[in-house]
Amino acid sequence: MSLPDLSALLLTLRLAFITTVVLLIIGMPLAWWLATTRSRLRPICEAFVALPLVLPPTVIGFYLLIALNPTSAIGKFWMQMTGETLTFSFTGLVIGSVVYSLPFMVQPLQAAFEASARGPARLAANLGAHPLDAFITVALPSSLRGVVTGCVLAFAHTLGEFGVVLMVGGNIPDETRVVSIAIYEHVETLSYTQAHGLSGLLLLLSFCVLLSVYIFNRRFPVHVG
Amino acid sequence: MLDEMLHIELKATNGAFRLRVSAKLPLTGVTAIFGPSGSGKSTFLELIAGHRHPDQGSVLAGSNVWVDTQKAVFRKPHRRPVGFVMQGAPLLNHLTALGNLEYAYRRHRRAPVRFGLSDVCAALDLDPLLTRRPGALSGGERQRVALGQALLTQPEVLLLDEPLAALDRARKAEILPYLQDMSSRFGLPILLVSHDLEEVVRLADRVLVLKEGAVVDFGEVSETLNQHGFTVEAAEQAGVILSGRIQSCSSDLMLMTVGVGADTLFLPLEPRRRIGDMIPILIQARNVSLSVAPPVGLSIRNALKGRVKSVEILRGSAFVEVAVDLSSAVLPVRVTRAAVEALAIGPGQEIWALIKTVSLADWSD
Repeated sequence: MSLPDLSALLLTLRLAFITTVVLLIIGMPLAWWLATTRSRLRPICEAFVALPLVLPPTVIGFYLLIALNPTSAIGKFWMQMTGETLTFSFTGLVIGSVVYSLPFMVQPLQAAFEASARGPARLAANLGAHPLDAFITVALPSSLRGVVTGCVLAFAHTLGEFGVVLMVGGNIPDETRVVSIAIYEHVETLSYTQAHGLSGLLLLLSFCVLLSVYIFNRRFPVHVG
Repeated sequence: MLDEMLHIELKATNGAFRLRVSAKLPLTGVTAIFGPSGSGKSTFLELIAGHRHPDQGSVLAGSNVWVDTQKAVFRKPHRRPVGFVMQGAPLLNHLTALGNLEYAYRRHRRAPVRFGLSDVCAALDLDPLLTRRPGALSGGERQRVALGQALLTQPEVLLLDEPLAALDRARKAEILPYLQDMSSRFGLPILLVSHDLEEVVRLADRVLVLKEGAVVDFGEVSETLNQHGFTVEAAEQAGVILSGRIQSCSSDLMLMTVGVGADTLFLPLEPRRRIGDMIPILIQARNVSLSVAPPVGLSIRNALKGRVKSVEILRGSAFVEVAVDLSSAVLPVRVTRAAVEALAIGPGQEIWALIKTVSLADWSD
């Protein structure tokens, strides 16, 4: 593998990892709220979370470009704070990936939390546990399968991202040139050997990641409470 | 909290189902909430425990407000002083039985401690179970651990949702003594939801009858259930609840004699009962046979002499229901139509009602 390709691969893995961590931090409270709220805003929020599943990545990328460019409020603020642009930067990619992979984290979490809220978390409340206490000591352990599924899906989905990255990040080596972009470039320049190498690698990686979920789910079956 | 009342005024909807309950339940002894499935019993319990918001109304324990929609007060479940054993006695599956008990005990906010860990373990015989996980416990054992867990939250009221429903007869017999003891032993009022007549008769001091989301009646067990219990349930539940006083106990024969009006019944000995106690006795119509002559050479101990009041043919079935007027009550008896015809049983006739003693036992076949 050539050095630029290796750099693209490492960048992709770094992006997927950071995106997953950020999504876990955002996704857990959001999913718990969606699973337990009686608010009328819930269906609206659920629809928003699910949007990336149906929208073309280019549409998401386009709106992100509008929202994050240096003349926008967010982009300007970021520019003043850090002296860097959000668009065509790694930070911009992380934001794009978080939006793009949001449903892949939130939906498995929400399903797991809903089951827990009806069962174990309700029991914990009966036993005097404050909601946050019940969440940490009972809902989270009993939703472990949903957490793992959400993380793996978000990670794998970010690995395969293309449209959003292209719109928001462009193709800057070591900064925004992820594997899918590199493959696209190889094909455009008719470098099929390199394209084969990277594509095969991504295929294998994605398969292994998904396989690990299914093995995990088999080994730790859900406790029916 | 002793001798206080739970004041309940609730309106709630669950889809198309509507619940309207207005009741004052004494916070002492065991109060059963009885009704067929779909009558709103579990919804009622969820409202008391705080897992459901009422559309309108209030729940007050003495002067403590648990929920009041007018004052916009809603105490969350973890802040209500109730020990709630949910249906099927779910436990925290990632903890051992001891872990489950400690989880509850560590979170109680009330002092002084009324129910200590070792007392509860002793009362419910939990010590052999402590290291086991919920998955390795039988239904009856889970129920006991869940009861212990509920006690360790130091509740002022215990809520039990169908505590015996998921258990087979042997398990019921195993858990029943603990439940019968619970209220008096720990001085703790219990609200018990049940659709099972036998369970209510064995456990409750009074009963609130629910039907289609509304209160039908509230009062002492035998009287209230004789009026409503057998119409609420399916027809094969036909029977009567007699009140009897224990006259003698024989530990040799493991029997006790109970006076019901002028009659005497033989019942299996119940260790907790004393001579002079009043007990309710559930006699189901299908457990009674008839004899037109004084029985001779039968194993049946309980033969009550009475007079046939009426004979009712049950449409489309092989059975008839014969109402037998005893000295103390009218006993419905279910026998085959063929038998009634062969013995020419008719109103006014002198007759002996034969009741198998085993059908009066605490599920302990």
